[in-house]
Amino acid sequence: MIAHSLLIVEDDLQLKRALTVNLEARNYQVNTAGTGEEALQSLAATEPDVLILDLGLPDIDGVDLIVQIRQTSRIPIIVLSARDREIEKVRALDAGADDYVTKPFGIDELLARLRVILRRNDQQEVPPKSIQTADFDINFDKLSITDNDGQSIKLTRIEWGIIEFLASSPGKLFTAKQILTNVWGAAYSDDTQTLRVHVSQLRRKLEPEPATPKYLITELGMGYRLVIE
Amino acid sequence: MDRPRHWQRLLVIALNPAITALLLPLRTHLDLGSVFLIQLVGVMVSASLMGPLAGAGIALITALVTNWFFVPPLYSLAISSYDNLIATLIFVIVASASGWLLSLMRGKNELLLRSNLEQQRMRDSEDTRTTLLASVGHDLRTPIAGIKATVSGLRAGDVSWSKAETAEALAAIEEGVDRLQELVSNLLDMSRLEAGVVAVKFEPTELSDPLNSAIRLAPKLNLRLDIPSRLPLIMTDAVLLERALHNLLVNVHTHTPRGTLVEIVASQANDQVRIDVIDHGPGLSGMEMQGLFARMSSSDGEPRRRGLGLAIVNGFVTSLNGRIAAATTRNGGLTVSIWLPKAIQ
Repeated sequence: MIAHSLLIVEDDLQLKRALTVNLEARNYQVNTAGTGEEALQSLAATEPDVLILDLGLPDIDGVDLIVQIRQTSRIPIIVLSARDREIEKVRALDAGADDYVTKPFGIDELLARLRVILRRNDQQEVPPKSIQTADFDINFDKLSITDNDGQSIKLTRIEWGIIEFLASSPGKLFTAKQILTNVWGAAYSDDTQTLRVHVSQLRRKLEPEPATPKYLITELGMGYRLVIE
Repeated sequence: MDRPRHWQRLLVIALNPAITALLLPLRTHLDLGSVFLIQLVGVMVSASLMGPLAGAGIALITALVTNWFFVPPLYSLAISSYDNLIATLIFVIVASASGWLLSLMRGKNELLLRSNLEQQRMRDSEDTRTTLLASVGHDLRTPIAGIKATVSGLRAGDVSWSKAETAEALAAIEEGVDRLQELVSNLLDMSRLEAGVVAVKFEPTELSDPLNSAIRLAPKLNLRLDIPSRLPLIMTDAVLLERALHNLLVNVHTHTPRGTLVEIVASQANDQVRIDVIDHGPGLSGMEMQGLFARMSSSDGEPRRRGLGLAIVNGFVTSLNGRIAAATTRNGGLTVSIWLPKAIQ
């Protein structure tokens, strides 16, 4: 197996060193950059598989950097940010970041996110044709969901739109704005209450325990992800 | 000065006619000077209640009334002798002046009273801050001390540690760092809330969203949930409520033996949603229960066992327009109840 290559963009030397040591020990090829300028150069020169980006850079706003990168590249981006910067994280996700890890974090958390992203990347982002879980099966060709007794679960058009969009990248965090724009259209991108109601109905239909969901996970203040074990 | 109250106005209106009526039958026995002096008492009372301007007006009216009823020639405003004229004029001057002085003094008194209250309040909040600082200091220093001791021990060259010992030491360090992180983010959240830097974003919220998130991030507990599926939405800030519930669960985890049953029960209570976190651990003594959320250290200055964590929960709940209370669980343990406003649907 070829080692995956990573670019870590982080201006704090201590954290940069800790990440490099830990990721290299797990057979990742690691390049680092300390500024946005260096990041853009390194990105062009080394074409890494994943970008790990600290939002607080000395020379450029991290979100602006994501916007700039997204004009030419679809490289998966994991954002590192402090917990109190929720708005910043949502902006980064809306701008095209794939996931975020909150500082301070354990290395295993970052590794888990990396694995999810790389697995998706290796499948070349083709949305799965079907998804099987312990409680329901989704078949995207037949546009149908069945429970584990084979009984069909009826979804409304909107509910189907939400599950189809989330399932296009299982494990990926989508912001409310992204879901609303994709399912309802750009004019509805602020209507988070409507989205909440529909997600709640979906949980009643799909989750064995709707009050403690294990598939349709809410990331408070961020958005939703579909978790398939 | 405060605006005069209703009873004060009534008293002032009634006082002078009443004094005049009482003096009338005694008119033949009393010297004019005595009549003026008795009236002066009434004017001073009125002026002190109504303020200097009204006092002067009342002094003038009283002078005219007294003139009409008591100064010869009676039942006329004419004054027959210079003595009586001087007495009347001096009455008006003395009555107005003393009324004015009285009302001034009263205003000063109120200011004094108010600044005393202000000082008391500042002293109180300083007390709270001092005790908060004391327990924050304790909670910060304890993990730092642990980390420092463990790391310096690991680095000391005179001992070679076994793999298991090293692993244990590293686990202790990580635990200490987690505790520090928890505390620092709580303190940052609280100070941001207090400084008004973070706006509380109230939105209709399903309890299960912040609750599940709090459970996911908290250490493992033996939990039993009872959340009715028809529970009304809460009008709250999901992120802050998650912080409150998370702190509550961490507090329970810290202060109950491993494996202790913890129930989370939600119910509707009029226009509020009530969340009970019921632990079946050792609980608290009656003394410890008192002022659990308000005071953060016990009288001997040692931080309360469960003080800081619950004080922080209280801070979050208060900023969410909620209410919090603690009681002893039946058969032992602590029950913390939180009431939050229901969303209007």
